[in-house]
Amino acid sequence: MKTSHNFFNLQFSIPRKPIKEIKFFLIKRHELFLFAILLFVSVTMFYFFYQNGLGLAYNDARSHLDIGRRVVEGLKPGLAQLGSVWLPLPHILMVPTIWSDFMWHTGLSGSIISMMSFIATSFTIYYILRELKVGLVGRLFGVLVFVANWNILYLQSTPMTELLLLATMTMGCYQFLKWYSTDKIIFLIQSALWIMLSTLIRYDGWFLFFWAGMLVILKSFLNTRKKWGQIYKRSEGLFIFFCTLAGFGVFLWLIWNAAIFKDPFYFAFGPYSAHAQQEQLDQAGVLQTKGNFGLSIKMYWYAMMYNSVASTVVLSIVGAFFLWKSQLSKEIKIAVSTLLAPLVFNIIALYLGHSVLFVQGISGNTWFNIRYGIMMMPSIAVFSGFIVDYLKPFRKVIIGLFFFTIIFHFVNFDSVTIADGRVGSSQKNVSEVSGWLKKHVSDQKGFVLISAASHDAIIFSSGLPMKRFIHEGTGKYWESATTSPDRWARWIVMRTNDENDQTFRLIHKTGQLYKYDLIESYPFADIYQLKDEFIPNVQTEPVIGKQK
Amino acid sequence: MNIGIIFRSILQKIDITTFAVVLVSALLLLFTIRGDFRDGKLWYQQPEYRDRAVGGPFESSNSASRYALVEAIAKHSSFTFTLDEARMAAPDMVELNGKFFTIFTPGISFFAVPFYKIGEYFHIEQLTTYFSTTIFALCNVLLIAKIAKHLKVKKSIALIGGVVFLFATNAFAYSQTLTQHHGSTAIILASIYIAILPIDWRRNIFFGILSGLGLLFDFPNMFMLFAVGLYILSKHLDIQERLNKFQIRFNISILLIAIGMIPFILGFLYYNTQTTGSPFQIGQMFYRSDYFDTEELKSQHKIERQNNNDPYADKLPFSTKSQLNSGYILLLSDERAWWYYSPITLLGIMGIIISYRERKHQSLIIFLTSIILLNIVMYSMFGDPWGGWSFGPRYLIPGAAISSVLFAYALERYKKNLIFLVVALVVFGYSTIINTAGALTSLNVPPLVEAQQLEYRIPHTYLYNIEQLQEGKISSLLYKRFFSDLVSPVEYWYTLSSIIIVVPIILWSIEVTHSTDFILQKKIKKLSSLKKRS
Repeated sequence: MKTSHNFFNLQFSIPRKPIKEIKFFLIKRHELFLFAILLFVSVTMFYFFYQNGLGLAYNDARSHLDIGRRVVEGLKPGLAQLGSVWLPLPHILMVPTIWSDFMWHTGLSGSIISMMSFIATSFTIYYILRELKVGLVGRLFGVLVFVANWNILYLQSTPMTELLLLATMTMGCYQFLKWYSTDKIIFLIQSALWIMLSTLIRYDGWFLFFWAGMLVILKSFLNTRKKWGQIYKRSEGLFIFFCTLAGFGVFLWLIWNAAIFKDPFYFAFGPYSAHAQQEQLDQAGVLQTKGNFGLSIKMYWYAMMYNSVASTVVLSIVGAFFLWKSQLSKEIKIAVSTLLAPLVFNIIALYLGHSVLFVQGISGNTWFNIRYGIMMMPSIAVFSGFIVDYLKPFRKVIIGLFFFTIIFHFVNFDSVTIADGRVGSSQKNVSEVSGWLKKHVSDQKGFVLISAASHDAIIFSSGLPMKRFIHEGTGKYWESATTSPDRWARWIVMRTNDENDQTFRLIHKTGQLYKYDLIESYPFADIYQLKDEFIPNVQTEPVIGKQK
Repeated sequence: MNIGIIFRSILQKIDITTFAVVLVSALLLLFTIRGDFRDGKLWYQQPEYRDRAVGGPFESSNSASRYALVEAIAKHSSFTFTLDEARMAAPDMVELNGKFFTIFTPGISFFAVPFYKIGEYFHIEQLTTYFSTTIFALCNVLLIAKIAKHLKVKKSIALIGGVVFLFATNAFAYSQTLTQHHGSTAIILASIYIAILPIDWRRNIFFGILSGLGLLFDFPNMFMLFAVGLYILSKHLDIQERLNKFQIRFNISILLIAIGMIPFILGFLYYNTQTTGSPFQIGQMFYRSDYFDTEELKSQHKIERQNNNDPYADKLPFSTKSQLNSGYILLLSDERAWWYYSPITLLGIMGIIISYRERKHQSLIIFLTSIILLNIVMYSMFGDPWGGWSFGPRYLIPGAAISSVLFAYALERYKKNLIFLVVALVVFGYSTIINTAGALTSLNVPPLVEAQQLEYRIPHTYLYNIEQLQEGKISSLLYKRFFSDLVSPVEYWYTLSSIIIVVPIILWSIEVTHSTDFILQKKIKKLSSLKKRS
């Protein structure tokens, strides 16, 4: 520092030893500090979204909680309640806590899984970057990119499945990367385990399983010094070994569907499957991405950009480019490609019409399922962390610009995921129906007949115990109530004249709706109450014994 | 002292090449001055001879609104408008508690008031007021050259950087307006220049003054000046590791920045109190007034405002949700992107690559790059990246200026590389032709979405400007007064563009000849000394 005016110079010195000690202490325990910070952020964010009511804004969030609850409480509790609409792992993980009304109704039973996954994913990003020989600053920056995002912070505070999926997939990729670079079989086993778990959360995991499987085959071929026969044998062995564990989840799911629903592909083509929903959308002419590859790419690209902050995505693309150009081994570069699996999967799913995603401005005026774009967040964080390390001279500029952008992101509450849950198609404000039920049903005897497939949000928001509801999963109660409603249901909640509502469809056939008075009509459902003269004959206690 | 001696000493201090470039630039700008000559009368100077005609100096409300404030201050010493001034400023004006005032920060207007007063004396108020922008534009040429010289770029090449900025980017078109662009760019460039000079307490005060002015010129300047401030701060802090201690030296003269800033901040607070009634509320926090709108439009606005009462609505004008669209508009689209309007700007990237590869001037180049990136990132978060109906990426003009420095740096390195020179010349020629068309015609180029909704469709790119020239529509006052009988507007455009393209070629020739001469002379000297020895 050259200056001609020493008058302004303030000079002092600090002993080197304590500074070094503090630095040493911080570096030695930085993972512990990181954990503490992540834990603090996670808990604070859960509380923030809980107190402002956004935590359970998503219809799906309430449905996930109800599925978990039905396993332990209801007219027909049991594992069969896991159903086939969604893959079972998130609901199985809720079982140990969902019995508590507090854990159920605060959503904490599901959120706690998302919160743990949030911390786990953050750490995995850190470890992946370490595996890529990235220094401490780059590693911490990668974690920061992942954490400093409203969409991630929101989803980690809700009982949605995204964070759990991110955690398992990212951990699978991390272990896979380690196996690819070290060739130690233990890492392949660990990777297969995490990938297997991810296949039990969402179908994105199935694609990762396929992708990783292909890379397992490829790995043997990278070693060109061996003979063709040896390569083939090794490749075959490793592939079967990997698939045995990683594909076990898929196998179990097929068996489950065959056992419960008598069709191994019931989850794919059943009446509540995503495929059936997408067919309805297709008939309505709103499944624009089906058969349109360009639009599928555009739609997912937008979703990714909106979820991850566009400038950060650009940064990560530069990072990915430099990672490819870097001195890292080709094994590492190939293994890192597993991080891109969600990108390919989502585009293919949109193209085939197995998935639906709306982006405001391109397809209508909603953000329906925009959260699918969040699946690329760990990859974006990894590539961003890498670029900070790789372009060292530009490090301060990159970090500075990131902070500059993120300040606006946070102050403006820029989150498409929250917007979808708040005002988009993914939310359902059922407070009027559920409020009525809470007020008029809770202190009276009798069952409510309702379709869980259509009105799980109402069941959840009513605050009534699950055993007060007769729904599709209650076996004989459902069969009896939909043939003789006046003997079983004191109240019926349904969308009148909507054939998609199972309750209406079945009740309408019986022609016994005249025994009920239409009490209230709300945007999402109507409430019918049994006329007084029929009340003495209605069942108010769960008299049917234990069902199989 | 004899006046002749003083004049001679000044001339001795002024570098002749620099002086010539400034003079030629000023002359070239003269040919694009906006105005009209109707019925033997110089139009636009007084209120009774002015309109908001397309291509005229008041076609854009961002110029007209600032001019209205100049007039209000000069004529009745007020920051608020009369009804006529308000009509002129609309829609870029606010109506609050029965008062009308400009929606913009007042710095540009404050700076222009003395020019208005001078013009009043000669009855050319509008021309002299707009001349304030021309001064900033010429300063920018010099500042770019100064910064480039700091990167060891030779004088003539450094001046090419300045010429590139002024004539081959949309800065050319905005040099004939009363907008913030050239003023803000001058503030940012001057701040950068101060930042790269050695630490000096007077410079810190001056940086404070510039920051204060920057605030008054345009609010977003503060973000870019903040980045410059951080760079200055880093130079004031020095930590050295000794044997058993860390020696920290902090030059507290950085605190003097506040002294430079305070008068301007106080002035701004006073201005806000006079207009909005609160020192901490600025015009841009309020809705544009619909006082002069039709009843139908007024009720439409009312409904829109009611719908905007979302508690989760954006609290700040910059939002990451806008980045995808705004970033696309500014970087990739044919509506406003550099590659389409002034691709010469992109050659600045070569400067960054050279510095990174050769590890020369890295710290300074990274600093300059960071300001460009900040400029881009900031406006990629802005909901209106088009800047309304405008010509080119007007919000990126400061970035274009810094990129011109980097271009000069690259040119210095490749000044004898034929491929680079050919590419640079072609790209410079293209950029100049486009931006000259903009400078000679209307700046009101609509965004694509708005162009599509027009009853009579007009192009959403510079093709609109070219179309105007082909239809014989031109904004140049000099053309209308002296050349309209001699050449067509298209010929005038071609001629002017050609002259501009020649300027950097001459500068490059001077530099190359000079350096070749120098090398030759060196060789001859060496040879003669060898001969002598033998």
